[in-house]
Amino acid sequence: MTGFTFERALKVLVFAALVLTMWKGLARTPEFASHITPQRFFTGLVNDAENSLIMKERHLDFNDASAKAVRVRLEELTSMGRTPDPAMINEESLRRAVNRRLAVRERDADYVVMARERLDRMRALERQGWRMPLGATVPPPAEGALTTGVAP
Amino acid sequence: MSLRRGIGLSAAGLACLAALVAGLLIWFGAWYFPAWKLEGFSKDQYREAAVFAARGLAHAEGLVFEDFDFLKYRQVQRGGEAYVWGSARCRAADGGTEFAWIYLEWSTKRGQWLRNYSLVLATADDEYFYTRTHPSQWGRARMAIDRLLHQLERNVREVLHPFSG
Repeated sequence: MTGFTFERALKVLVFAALVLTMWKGLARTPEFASHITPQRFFTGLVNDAENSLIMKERHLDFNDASAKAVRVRLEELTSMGRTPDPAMINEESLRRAVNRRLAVRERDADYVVMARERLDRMRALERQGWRMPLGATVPPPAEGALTTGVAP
Repeated sequence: MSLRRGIGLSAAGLACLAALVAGLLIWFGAWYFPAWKLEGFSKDQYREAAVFAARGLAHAEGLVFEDFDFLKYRQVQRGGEAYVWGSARCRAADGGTEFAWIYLEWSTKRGQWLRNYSLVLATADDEYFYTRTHPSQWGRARMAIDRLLHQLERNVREVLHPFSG
């Protein structure tokens, strides 16, 4: 047993870095975070779901605003003969654009519903005090249940 | 100074100039313009901020802002994020109607509203009006690039010739 050598100091530092990396990595796993820092864990989940819902609502609104802008172009084309670029914006292209916006609207409206369901799911998990089981086997979801109770 | 050395120096100079221009564009588009003149509006003054942004965009596009067709404010309950978006009805010089999409985000880091994706809706270069063959493959690429350059140019114009009145 010699004194405090450079190699030994280096080994201690490397070991400390390894422990820190493992600790930080573990803190990011749902198994660890839901047990050790549940409040922070659920705040993150709910915040993420809230932001997603707002984003999906915004995308739907953007599509609706675009559809309205296209419709007003069609109205002004028939009433005033106004078209910013006849090669691109004519009656045929405007009618097609309206139909395209309507088709996309179906999908975007669906995304809003799914985002709201996800937010409800996250809030339900928090209410239930859900913790991610360690080494779990997945049970089938109960009849009519909002969550399986295993994964978010 | 040998010819080879001269070529090398000019190449390095050009590369530095290109890097400087690219950096300047990124600084303007990602940091300076989103925040420009929106510092004075608090989180609750989202309507005033949106009207200010809409007036500026309309003016830079040669339009006159009339009113918001709709304006929505949303904020999360957990965390500090807030958003405001809407469709601004504008009047063109020929008497026609144009709609502009205005979208601002509250920056918790900078503590102010920032301009986000905002543009005039249903313009001629919009992909809504594409068909299978028109514009051509090359035309599509050119239109997409022109669209981005137009938005950049519009933002620069808005800063250089701000709306007054």
